[in-house]
Amino acid sequence: MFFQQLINGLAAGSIYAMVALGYTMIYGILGIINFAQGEIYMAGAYAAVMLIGALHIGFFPAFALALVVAAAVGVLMERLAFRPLRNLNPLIPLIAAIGVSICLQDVARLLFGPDKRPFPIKIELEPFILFGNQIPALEIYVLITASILMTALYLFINKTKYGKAIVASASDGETARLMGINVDTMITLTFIIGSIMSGAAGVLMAIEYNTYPSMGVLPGLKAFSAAILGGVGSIPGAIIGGLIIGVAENLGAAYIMSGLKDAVAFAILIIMLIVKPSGIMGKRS
Amino acid sequence: MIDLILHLLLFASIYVVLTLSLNLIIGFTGQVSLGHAAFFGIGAYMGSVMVTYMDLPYILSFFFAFCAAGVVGVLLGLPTLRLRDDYLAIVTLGFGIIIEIVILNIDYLGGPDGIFGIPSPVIAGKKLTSKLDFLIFNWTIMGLTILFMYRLTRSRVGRALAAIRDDELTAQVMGINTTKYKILAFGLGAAFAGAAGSLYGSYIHYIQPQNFGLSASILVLCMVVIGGMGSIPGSIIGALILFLLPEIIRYLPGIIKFVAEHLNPGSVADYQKISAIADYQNLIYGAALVLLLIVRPQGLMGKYRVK
Repeated sequence: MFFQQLINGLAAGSIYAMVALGYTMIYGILGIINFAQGEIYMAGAYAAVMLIGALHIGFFPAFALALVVAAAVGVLMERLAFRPLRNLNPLIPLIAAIGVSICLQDVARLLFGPDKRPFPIKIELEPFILFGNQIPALEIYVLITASILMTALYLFINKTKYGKAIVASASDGETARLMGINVDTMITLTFIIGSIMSGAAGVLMAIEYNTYPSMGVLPGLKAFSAAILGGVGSIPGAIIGGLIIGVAENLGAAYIMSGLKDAVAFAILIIMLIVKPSGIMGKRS
Repeated sequence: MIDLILHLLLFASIYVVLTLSLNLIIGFTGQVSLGHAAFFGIGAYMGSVMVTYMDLPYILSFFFAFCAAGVVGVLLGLPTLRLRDDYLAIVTLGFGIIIEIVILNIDYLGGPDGIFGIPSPVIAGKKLTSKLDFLIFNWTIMGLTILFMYRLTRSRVGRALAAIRDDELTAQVMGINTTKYKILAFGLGAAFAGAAGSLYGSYIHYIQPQNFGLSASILVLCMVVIGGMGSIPGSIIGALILFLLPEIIRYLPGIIKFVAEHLNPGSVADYQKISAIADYQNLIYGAALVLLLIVRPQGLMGKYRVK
């Protein structure tokens, strides 16, 4: 029971972690809370469902194309809504992001209808047996996929020239510009990477759960809590924060009260912010 | 038609009070709250429980709704108001979501079904029955709120709040107890939201937790920002525009049809085609929001620096 809940929590947590990476990277480089991150997750899920269901594309090519769609939505969002609002009080882009999120949900509703859509193909997998517990195979694959993507991101940020340029732009945009880094390109790149992570999370969730226009709202908020919990701007922090929230809410639902599941993430967040506002991995600012 | 207009004017007054209460926190004091609907909800539930389940007089329940929301606001403010702006935004966001979920799980408060059959208020022995009675009562409360906000901004307290908003460190150096004033503003803002909640419950006669969730908080926040942070006329206009816009979009097809058929008697407007506009309501709403912020980031009436 406990072990099963732990795996459930880790799988949910790795989804939150992937969305949280988008939040934390965008917050790091622009200092804004992109409230529409959950809608990129939704766009990824819809892209996969429609590509497989309507165009009968295989699962893996559809997955890859869904990531492209998610990245395109992210880039468009940055160009149209966030670029004109740079250097303003952060509350202004925050509200613009809310506007974008309302728009995208409505676009999804108009294009695909308000109904919930199941994943068009059944993926039958034998459950794993671990320490005498049956673990759904999908959760293991979610964990594996998330780990691969997060490792790739970690290597990209730390080992490549572009990754270092993103870090430089995030820590001091003006100096980065003086060093010959095109900060605008780095911001676009950040949106691309963040959107790919969120879009992938959306596809992984769409396999097991239904896809619908407002599906991104709650995971988006929890992922944001995860980003703050881990220390906003910190990539390992977002991962740790996501896993903690996923595990805590699953254990909380199993052992305390299932109705309060969605409140757990925010309760942890509030306690954390009061005790250590900079987050687990964050530096004092 | 008259009934509908009275209804809209009534509802608008509730949103004006709510928007002004949030403007006190965001616009006057510079503290961000993303969970303001929670205070609205606390007031609504407090007021409704007292008149529906406990048979207490409306005025008393109104007073308690005001106080309960205010006290919760102060309690939330005590540990959190020393946080940075954007963190405060997130704490209040989480608080708003938690309050909604907690109310959903309390059986006494009706859980997801909410409270229904909330009786109409009895003011000085007279029961409010018609929409006009409600309109007079609600607009009186709205007028008092507007008056209070004007007096407050021109008082010593209001100047202290503006100083904190513009430069907290300097305000502190000038001898202003910034924590005290921030908590005062947060508590007062929450209290007025609670009062708005009480008005809401008594007029609609029915409340449920979903009315006080994140989307309501976001709507009020948009009203403040669109109108212009720190501007009282701005908040009133922002509340009116954002409240009436969806209603207008909803009734627009009917209005167009009505006008078209009167201008050109005999013709029958293609209702199906016109009513397609209403389908794009949220899309128009979201896009208009983004566009307005790009064109005028300080809001319609705002003077407050947004840099």
